[in-house]
Amino acid sequence: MSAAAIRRWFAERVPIPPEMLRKPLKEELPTHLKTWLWAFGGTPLLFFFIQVATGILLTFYYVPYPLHAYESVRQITFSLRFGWFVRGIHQAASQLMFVAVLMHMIRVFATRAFRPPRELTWVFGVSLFLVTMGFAFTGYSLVYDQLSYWATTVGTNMISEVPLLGRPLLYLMRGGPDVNPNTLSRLYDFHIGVMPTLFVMLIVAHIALVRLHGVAPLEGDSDRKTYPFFPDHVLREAAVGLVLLLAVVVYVVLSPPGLGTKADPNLTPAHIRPEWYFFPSYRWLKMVPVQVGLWTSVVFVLSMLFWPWIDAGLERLAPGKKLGVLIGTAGWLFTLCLLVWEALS
Amino acid sequence: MTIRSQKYLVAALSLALLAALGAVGSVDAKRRAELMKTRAPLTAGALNPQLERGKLVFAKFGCNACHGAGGVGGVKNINAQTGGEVNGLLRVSETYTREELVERIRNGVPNVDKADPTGPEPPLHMPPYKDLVGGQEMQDLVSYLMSLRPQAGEAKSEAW
Repeated sequence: MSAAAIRRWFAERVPIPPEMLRKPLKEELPTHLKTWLWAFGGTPLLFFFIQVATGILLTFYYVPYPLHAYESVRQITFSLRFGWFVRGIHQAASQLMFVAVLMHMIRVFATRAFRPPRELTWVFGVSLFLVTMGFAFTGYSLVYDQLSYWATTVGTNMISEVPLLGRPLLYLMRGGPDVNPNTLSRLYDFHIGVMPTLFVMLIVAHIALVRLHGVAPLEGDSDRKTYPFFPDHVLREAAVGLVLLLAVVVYVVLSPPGLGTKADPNLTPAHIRPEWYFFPSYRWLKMVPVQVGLWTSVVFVLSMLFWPWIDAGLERLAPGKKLGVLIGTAGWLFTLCLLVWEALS
Repeated sequence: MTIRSQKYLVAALSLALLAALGAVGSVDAKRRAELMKTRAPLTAGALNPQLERGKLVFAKFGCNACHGAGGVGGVKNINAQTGGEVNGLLRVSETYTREELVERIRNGVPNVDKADPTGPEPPLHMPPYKDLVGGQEMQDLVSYLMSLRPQAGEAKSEAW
């Protein structure tokens, strides 16, 4: 059967006009995207795919039950062929995925690419960031060594303090008032079922809106020159993706994942600390009374989510003063300070 | 940067990535060799090569997912007569002959007895492995299972 015959066979069964398939590839992009900094948009997606692939491999051997969880992670890390590599990639790529989402978000924030009519693209983007944090929290809990167990205990304790929804959320996460055998299987369900589903739905909505609106033009940039998405931009994205993949592989080879001591619910470690991406909220909650910390965190997250409208309101309040950029930058810097502070303490 | 040079860059990076993945293979082999070396004194006298192979077969087919790592049991199986859990395997040598155990693995356990006859069907049952495990692998697996013994502190989970 010739290639033309195969094409015809598919065209008859999947009657999508070829030009419709080619259209996204032919999309013209504004020239400011030629800057390498703008080639990071696809990076979170690349890391998500890596997480899905390595995550599926890990589920083949991981047992989400307290009696066996630690032993199965130990087996993956130290006994299985390439187990250390798969777990190492999953762990390292999760950290880079978080950084990539954050960098992408900061870039969009700094260039105010959330301006109308792209508010919902931003809302979906921030939601993706929050789901990424959820991935990180639930994933870390599954290791079931001392630090991961106690980070889960402290983390879920904090959830109970969330205004109004705290107690129902706590029961939903833990399957009871305390961390118990149900907790691990629930966190596992969230990690491999609920969150990936949410992530895919959000990313589809996010990318669909980006494609429908087109790339946001730079504010005050009158340059209307464009260049094609394929192959020009795709090559840049590919180069960035390959460099990062290479970096992850080299990192895992040089620093393979380890494992702490097995979780012991009767022995609280001297220093409980979450993963670094939760440092800002952890430091903040240590600095202020818990209720104040949680209410301000809720306000912070809601402000992030609805920032396009807050920014527009500030612009109406003081036209041309860029109050939104100033307040937002101060917020980012404050968060960064909390992160560094906690890291150094 | 021209398109041509970007293509070369992507090609070079792809090759570098392939080379790095190739290196992962040799690192893995080295790592495993070192682990085997450090483990040898610990397992000497405890597991002979056939039992080691059987242990790997046990992991390969995911037996640990239901019977627990090392066959200690403990995975919930609501309303199962075996204490609401999938049975552990620490006493198979006292319960089965090798031939009976082979038959059990080959045919599985399609119906798990209920603790409460009016209650729900236990969700987990053992599938047949006759199309998956056979020959030397079956012999290694059975030898490994027959070698399992309860240890101090495992009295609760060893119920058959």
